[in-house]
Amino acid sequence: MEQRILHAIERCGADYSEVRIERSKRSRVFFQRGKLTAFETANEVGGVVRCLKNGGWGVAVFNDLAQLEAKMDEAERAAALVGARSGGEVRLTDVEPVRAEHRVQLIEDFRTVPMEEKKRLIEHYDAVIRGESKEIHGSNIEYKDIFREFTFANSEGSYIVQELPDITLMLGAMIGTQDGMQIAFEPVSGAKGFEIVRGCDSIAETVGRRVVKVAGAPPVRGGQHTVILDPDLAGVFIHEAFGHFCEADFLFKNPQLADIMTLGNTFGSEELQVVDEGYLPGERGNVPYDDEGVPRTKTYLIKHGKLHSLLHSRETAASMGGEPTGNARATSYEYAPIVRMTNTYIENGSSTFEEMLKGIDHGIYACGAFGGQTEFEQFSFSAGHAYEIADGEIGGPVRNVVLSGNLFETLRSIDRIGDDLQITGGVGGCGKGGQSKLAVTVGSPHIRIQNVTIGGE
Amino acid sequence: MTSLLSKARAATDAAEVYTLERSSTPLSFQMDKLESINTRHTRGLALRVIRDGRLGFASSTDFADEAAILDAALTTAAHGDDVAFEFPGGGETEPVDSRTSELIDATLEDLVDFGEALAQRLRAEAPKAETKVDLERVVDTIRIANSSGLVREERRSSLVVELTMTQAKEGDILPIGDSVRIAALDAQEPERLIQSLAARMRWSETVVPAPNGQVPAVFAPSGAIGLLLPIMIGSSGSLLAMGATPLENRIGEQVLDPRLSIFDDATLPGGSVTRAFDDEGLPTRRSPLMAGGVFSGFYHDLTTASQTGQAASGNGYRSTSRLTQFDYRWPPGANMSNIVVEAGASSEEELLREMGDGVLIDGLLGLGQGNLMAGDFSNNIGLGFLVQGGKVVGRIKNAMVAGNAYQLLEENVSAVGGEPAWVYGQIRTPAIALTRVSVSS
Repeated sequence: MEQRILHAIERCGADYSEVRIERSKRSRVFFQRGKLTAFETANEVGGVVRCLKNGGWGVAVFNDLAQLEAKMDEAERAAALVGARSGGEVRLTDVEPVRAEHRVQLIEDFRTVPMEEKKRLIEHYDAVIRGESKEIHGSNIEYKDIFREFTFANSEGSYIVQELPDITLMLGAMIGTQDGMQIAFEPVSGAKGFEIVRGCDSIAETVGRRVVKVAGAPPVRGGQHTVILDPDLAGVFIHEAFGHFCEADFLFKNPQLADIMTLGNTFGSEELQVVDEGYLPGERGNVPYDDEGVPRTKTYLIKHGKLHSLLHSRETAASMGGEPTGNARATSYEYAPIVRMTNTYIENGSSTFEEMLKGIDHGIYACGAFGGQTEFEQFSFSAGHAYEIADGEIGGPVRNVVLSGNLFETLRSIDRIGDDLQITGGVGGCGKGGQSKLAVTVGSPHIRIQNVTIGGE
Repeated sequence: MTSLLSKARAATDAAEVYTLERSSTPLSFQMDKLESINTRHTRGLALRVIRDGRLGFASSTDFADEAAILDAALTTAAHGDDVAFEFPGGGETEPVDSRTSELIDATLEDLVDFGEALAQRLRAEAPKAETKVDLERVVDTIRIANSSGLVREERRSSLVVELTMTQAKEGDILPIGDSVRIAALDAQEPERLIQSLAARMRWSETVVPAPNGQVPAVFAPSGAIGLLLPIMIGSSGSLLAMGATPLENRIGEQVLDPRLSIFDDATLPGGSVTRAFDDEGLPTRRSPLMAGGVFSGFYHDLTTASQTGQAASGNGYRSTSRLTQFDYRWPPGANMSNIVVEAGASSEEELLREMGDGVLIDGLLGLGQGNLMAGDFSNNIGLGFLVQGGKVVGRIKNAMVAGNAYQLLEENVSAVGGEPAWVYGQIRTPAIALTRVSVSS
């Protein structure tokens, strides 16, 4: 394969060309209230070619590897057309070519675990969850694994083979109430082997107990609240509320937005540091090189409250005069890479959780991420579970906690940053530009924010 | 495919082979400049087998190695779920081809010219904004064959045009966008979209404080989807099979306002789920979900129909997201076709006038947040306006709208509008006006 790829690149007449081939093997077990909604395996092979010609991009995606040369021709022709019609402005920042091979060793390779055993493990967790209470309507458990091998080669001499395992288990429970079905869930995940989904009984028990507590919970009162976010939810918050805005491909052709994101602008307190750390082995989505062959790096987005750096691809770095940060990622071979986050977190501050609680007469303690969305300055994210805070004490649960705000105001309203950083990968992923469910990790210590809008009556 | 089906039949009690071949050409324009061209050609297959009453599923991109995919499907069938349905018969029918020659014959240059013209028009209408046009022509070929003798083939084509304009300054960033699906390189519908987006942008120039409390609201079509999504999910046969829908045991009952009639309709031209047959080979149809607010029934695939003892409705689609997409990678599930809400009479202007004072909600962030199974939604109002005396006075920001969709659409409907529009390509709805809904800011 290597010779064939290198030959195809050599014969291509583009100014720059790259090939990314992906092979993947995956399985899924979805168990909903005692029924196997999905029990499946899949094998996939595909590739994507990118060509740059006269400053224009052409891309071709295919499943039939026999078409590699034809697809390179197609991408080159498309690039030439774009170069001619667009004024040909694309430039790429220089990077060192890389020849590397990154293979993983799994403690227990999920590819060799029989499907029957995966099913039995899920059935076991179903029993554990339902064992917490007869009131529980049923469990909702989804297990997924995928092992991917990518080969990247470009016309500058880079040739990189990387392996990326991904395993996720979503343990959920449902309970019926007079206000409808309520749910609770906990994720388990990593760029690891089957060993991490074994021995999760205590997590399953937690889910079962929590759903019973949620059953009696009133909906949260809508309005402005003082909020403490747990590390999980604070991680999603910083990803949605700030991380996306640092992705330079939103900015490099948009002078209005780029102006707002000028390096050195103050966004938060002195104590606030926000990082996008390129490579954390064992965390979801983590490999040493991005999808342009650039080594992933640790980038400070915010340092001492000020915008320190943006996240770049080779194209945005060239356009904005930055350094490539190794943030060019594609969800799969079906797409060209765009600027994406990797592991995004708030660094530790100095407050303890107790100190944060003490200052609150009425507030909400919001935990666990259920999802989020950003549209430039507006962001929204929802809590998996949440509790009232009254007179500095955590009280009873409340439900339907969806938080929202203006990112600039909200960052400035973070008044306490905790000292208990945790990083998590969740079970879903990030979506952007039509590329959904890219595995990312997020993290933070507990943080406290004033004046957060929560939806509700 | 015949060869794989034969091999599978020999090793099992029943088998079904599904293949999807997709050619798509996404083009993107930044301002009025072509930015990239992507030519995508993907194809994959999925095999379902039934053996000893259990179901197996495997998918692959390798059409040559039939033994491998058969082996994978048999492995999952060994421990798969009990199956109480049979693959449908129906023999072999003529291939259905709804592709339009205007789209099939268009060259890359034709598409580029079309997109460039739209990009220039968009810039002209929104001179202060950063604009983007994304075009994607998609041509799908779907084939299904099963051991009951059914053979189906369908080819479809579409061109989706997505328009975005973003205006930004310190303290105020406004993105406005929408998309439209067309069958030819005809600028009429995109032009209409450009006009309406430009009008929204002009309304947004003034920002005013958002209200706080229970206020009257007009949900424009792209906001109304927030009200409709829980109902659509609640009507799903898979939720019924899980015992998790508020609509259980409510067929024939008045659930929503009598002015709301909602259909699941795969026959309506122009929708993203307009299909002659579903992904299990069953003929599609137009079925009422709510007839004058009376709940008419759930939508099913073969599995959920057999699990609930109800009739299959031709809603078996291979999709994992809430909005229905087609992919060979996923097993069939009960999914919506196009969802059509019957229009009333009033224009948006008339609805605003009747409302007097309230809000106009044109877009929601975080669709799907809240507990949709129970009908509870809670969303940031991505694009919303304050209305006073029946007129828009400015844009509201940093506000959320929340409520229970079942309660609101049963008790709080003040009017159903008369100008239906497609939202996300799959839902066709007019505006819905509510007497009051909770807005927090």
